Amino acid sequence: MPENLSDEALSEQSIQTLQVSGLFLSPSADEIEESRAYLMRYARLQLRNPAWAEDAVAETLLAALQKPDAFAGRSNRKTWLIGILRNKIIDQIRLHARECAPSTDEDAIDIEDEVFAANGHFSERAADWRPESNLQQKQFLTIVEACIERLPDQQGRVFLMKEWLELDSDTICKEIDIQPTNLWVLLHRARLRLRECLQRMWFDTAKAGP
Amino acid sequence: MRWMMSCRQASRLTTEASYRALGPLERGLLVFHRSMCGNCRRFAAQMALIDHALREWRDQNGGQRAPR
Repeated sequence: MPENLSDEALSEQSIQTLQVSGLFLSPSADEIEESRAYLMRYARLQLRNPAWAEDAVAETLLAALQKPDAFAGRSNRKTWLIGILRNKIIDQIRLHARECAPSTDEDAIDIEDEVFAANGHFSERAADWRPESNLQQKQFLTIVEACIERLPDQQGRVFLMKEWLELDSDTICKEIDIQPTNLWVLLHRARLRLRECLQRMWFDTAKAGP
Repeated sequence: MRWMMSCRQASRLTTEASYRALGPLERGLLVFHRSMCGNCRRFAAQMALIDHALREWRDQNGGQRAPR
């Protein structure tokens, strides 16, 4: 747009043209707030640190708003924003790699000792997870997410780096400076915990229901 | 029984199988163990269901690998 173009010179028609071409489509405050809210949900889930999550989301929105036409126009805005967020989250993990490594007390509890008896057998019978219980897919996925949220910090971070950020094992080990054997242990514990949580919050209650 | 690993060991291999290709011996031992252990058969089914759910969850939440 030429700089000497005065306001008056922008006729109704030219504004409309600009709007249609996307140049004038700026996202509304509501749209930004809505995006911010769900981006925060993912960032918190992955980073387990409210301050880092805020930073990752702020940088995501800043990057996105530099392309207001894309922000307003995209039909798959959520996917687009999450794509940006993933990279900003990886930046945050890199930035805080040293603080990511130490495990919490909860991480240190060996879930394997709870699931398995001293002789190596399951201490409780493993339940049949009937696919029928899985019918209310959306509700089930909400529980899955709640259970991921409950994972101890280090396990949760590593688990989502694998399952959500889809980073390969070498990259994860490098980013947060852990040994490959340690990575397998963390992923295994995360899965055992997820299993316990789903058993309790979904399959046990589904059985008890009508 | 040296060819029979414990459920604890079997469960580790089951988890790792979600993330890497097991070697032929690992696979063989796991199949052998499961053929005689209902708990580990059900555990494997549980893990398969978790994998399936995680895929769904990922697809609904911005799926595909982020462009680096």
